Amino acid sequence: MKTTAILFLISIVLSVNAFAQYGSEAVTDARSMGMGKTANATSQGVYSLGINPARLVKTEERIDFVTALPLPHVSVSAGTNFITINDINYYFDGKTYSDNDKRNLNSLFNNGGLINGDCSFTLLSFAIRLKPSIGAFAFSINDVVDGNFTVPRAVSSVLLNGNPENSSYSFDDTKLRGWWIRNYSLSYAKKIDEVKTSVFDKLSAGISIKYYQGFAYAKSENLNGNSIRTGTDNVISLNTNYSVKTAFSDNFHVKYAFDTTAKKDAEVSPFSSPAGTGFGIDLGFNVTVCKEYDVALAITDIGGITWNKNTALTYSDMQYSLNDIFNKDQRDSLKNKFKSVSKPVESFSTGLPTTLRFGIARTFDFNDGGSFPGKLLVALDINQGFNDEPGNSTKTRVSFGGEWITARGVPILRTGFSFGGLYGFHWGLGLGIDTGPLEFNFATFDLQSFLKPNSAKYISVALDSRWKF
Amino acid sequence: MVIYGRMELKKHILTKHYKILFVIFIALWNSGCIDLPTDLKAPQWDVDLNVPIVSRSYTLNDIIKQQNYISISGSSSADSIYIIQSEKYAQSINIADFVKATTETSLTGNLIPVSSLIDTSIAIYLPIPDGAVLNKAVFSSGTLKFHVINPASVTANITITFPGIIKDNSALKITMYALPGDNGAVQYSLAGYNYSLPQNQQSVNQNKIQMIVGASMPNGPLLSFLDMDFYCSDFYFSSVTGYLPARDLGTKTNSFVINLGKAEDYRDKVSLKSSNLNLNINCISQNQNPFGFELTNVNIIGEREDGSKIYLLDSTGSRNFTIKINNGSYYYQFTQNNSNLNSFISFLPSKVTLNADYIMNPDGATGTVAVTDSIKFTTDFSTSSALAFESSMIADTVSVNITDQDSIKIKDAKTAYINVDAQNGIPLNTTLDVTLLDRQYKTLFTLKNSNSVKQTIAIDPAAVNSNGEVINAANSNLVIQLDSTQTKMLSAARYVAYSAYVYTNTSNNNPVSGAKYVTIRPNNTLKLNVYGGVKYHVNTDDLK
Repeated sequence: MKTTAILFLISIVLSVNAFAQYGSEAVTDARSMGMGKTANATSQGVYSLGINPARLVKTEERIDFVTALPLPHVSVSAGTNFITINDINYYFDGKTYSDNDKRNLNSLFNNGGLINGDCSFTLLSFAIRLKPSIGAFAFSINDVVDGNFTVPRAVSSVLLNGNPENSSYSFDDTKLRGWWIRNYSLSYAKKIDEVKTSVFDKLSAGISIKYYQGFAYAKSENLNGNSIRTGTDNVISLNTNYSVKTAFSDNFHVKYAFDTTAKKDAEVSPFSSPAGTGFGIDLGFNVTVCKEYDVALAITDIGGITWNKNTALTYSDMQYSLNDIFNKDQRDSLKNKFKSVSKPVESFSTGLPTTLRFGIARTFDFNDGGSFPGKLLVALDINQGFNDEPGNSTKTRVSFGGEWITARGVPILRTGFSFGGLYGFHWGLGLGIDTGPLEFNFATFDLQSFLKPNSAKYISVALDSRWKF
Repeated sequence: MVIYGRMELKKHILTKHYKILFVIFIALWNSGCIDLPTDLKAPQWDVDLNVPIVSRSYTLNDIIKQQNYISISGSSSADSIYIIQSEKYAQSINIADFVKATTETSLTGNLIPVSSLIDTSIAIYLPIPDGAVLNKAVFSSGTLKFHVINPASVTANITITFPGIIKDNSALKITMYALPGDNGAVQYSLAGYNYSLPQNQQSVNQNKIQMIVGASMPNGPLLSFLDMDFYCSDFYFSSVTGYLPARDLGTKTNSFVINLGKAEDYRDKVSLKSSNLNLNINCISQNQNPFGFELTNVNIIGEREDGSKIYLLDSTGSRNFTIKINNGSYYYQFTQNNSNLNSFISFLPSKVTLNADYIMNPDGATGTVAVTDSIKFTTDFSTSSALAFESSMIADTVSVNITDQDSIKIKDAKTAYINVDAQNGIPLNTTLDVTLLDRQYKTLFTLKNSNSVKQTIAIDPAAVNSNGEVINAANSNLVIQLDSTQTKMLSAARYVAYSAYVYTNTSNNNPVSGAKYVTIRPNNTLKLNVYGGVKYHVNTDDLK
């Protein structure tokens, strides 16, 4: 099991990111990414799926859809929150670290050594808007592979400083999260013209019902008291208290330690049998306030997944003290105690990356006068995740961004900034080309990685296309 | 001046803005060329590694290897003590010289009547040599001799019967002829004969051999007399029951070689407070009633290889002991109370010699003895672990198992230290000199205690009371710090030369050596808490 699981985890941690709207953190489409992942009150058509289904109706086109042609929805994002290329070049050129170097390198991990990556892919996304009295319908199939791993700060401290007497290092900030899920989403949205006041106008509401399949899941839990302490007289105390829940598709042929049956090699395919299934709902509302502001509120991915195939709990809850390295019992005890133990579990449930999304946007139309050409869309988003499932965070993320549409045929400029959340500050920049039936978008969420690539911790590039009629 | 229409004006502004943005974007982009790492090299750094090494309590019982000559007496922690027990040394003395009666005895001028009418006989008793009294005996050899004078003119027939001398259930009967006017003589060997005192022999004649002498003289005179002499001598017995006279077997010497092993190192250093020497003397015999014997002028001498000696003295200071053995066995325990045994054992002789004069049957008693009987000496000694040590050095040079690969790793260590906290409940001082040597046995450096002014590596002894009993453990702290130079030299170390000095504190309670008597008990405990650390230069290339 170990080899397969490690390969899986490495693959999800180092994976690339494609088109998705999911969780409070995960990468969105190229248009939103260019605006600093600002999408709640600006997404339109199929781009609104997963963000706010009410905004399905916020487009003038009758039909829009996303396929792999002419451009697949692809975005690439990988990085860490702690080390830059400059840092790598500095610290890995064979030098002998001075005390200052060690201090500075260690400080890079002050906020935890998060390594993240997520990959999502829209196999199909299609939306059609019928008569206003009927509303709009959409269907999409999205795959998400998301994972991140937080290297505990203690690792760098122990490696660089060793274990001075009366030192203590905690490993409780270790985190491992990852899954591969797929959702089949059916969405409906409708304008509700009946609700209209002098302040509120153009209310629309939407709902998405999602059927989820999960193919792989791994998450660390209950990390509490994991530490290494060197006490008086160099007595070393080690404590572990953690558990990792895992579930894998039958096709992966994962072999756990407790599993005595022979297993074949993993057969990972796009249509693997699920290890878990579940349902989710997105609810969204959008309203125009004071005729100028689009205000959107949605809660997405209410629901969960029950994992019931190849489920296991790997755990360790040990206390160990070493005060005599020549004591064979102590040495043997160390080997025995720190073996993780796996046991099968019947099934377990996990939540979906439920997120509350609020956004407000206003479009300034300069075509009617003034010296500034075109339309300028500015927007503010607040995303609040309710759990720490992959792609989600309970840390609030705030972003604001803008889109400047000048004239048909002229590239659309987008930029935006994102604060908070798991990854902190990011500056997005994007370009869009609207040819009428076909729209192309290019973006990065990490403009700093282009302007100062050596100082960048993340690198991301996104491109996609959308057909619309 | 160019005049734009409204739409043209907007396009112009748009183009202008785009150009500006494009220039800014390109400028910013160009400002940061990515410098992707292409040749990552492993870094190096110093890291402090600290480990606990030993945290343990050792009782002496844990430390001292199980050895068959060390045992523990007593079960409680208060009275248990080591007993160092020697092997049992045994030697035998053969007493064949005692089982004999050799001095010739005679009975002469005996007139034996002889008649032509009737056969005559007469009982005659011949004294046994040396005055021995035989109830039973088995002859290995012996001689009987007879001499006869026949004054008559015809031949006399003589028959001598020995009722007590038997072979094949028949008494010895000797027939001889005495020719007229002739002197006849006969000699007879008793080899293979047994002796059993005839039932009808009077007790006053038990020290004599009964003979029934008969004679006949057909066609001779009516009465005549034969003149006969009888002799016996050189009686050597396989066994005897009865009385054999006291016999001095002379001076005999027995030596016991003692394998001291490593204990030789403690010669002239150790003073024992309590010891015992057991001497067992047994008559080894198949018989129930062995003869007693006496050892006079017994000297017990301890000797070393260099010829130096010590005598075991009795409480009066005499080196001559007298030992008398009755009932076939004797046991005596020498202690400090009846001898100078502590000094004798502390001398640690490699050989113990026992000289003595052996006197068999000194009291003239009766008994049973066989030529195969012997006197067996068995001796052993023991001492308890109540002793005093003057400074005793144990020195050795041992190889250190450091491979060349290990050396490379050791070179990456910059400094190192070992801290030893010792709580010593053993009443012995220990001082260590440890020197590291290279392949050519050249000195690299000597370990020093940086926590001591003298820099000696020493563990203080437990405090003892006037009886040498431990009352308090002693705390010692040693810190052995290796600087960068020493740590580098450590990689070249291939041998360790050490000298360990063990001793008890000085005191006047041991008038011999001045070292203080202490009682070492199995439950004396040494608590060690050892930990250390190294500042290690991590070179990840070395780890490949």
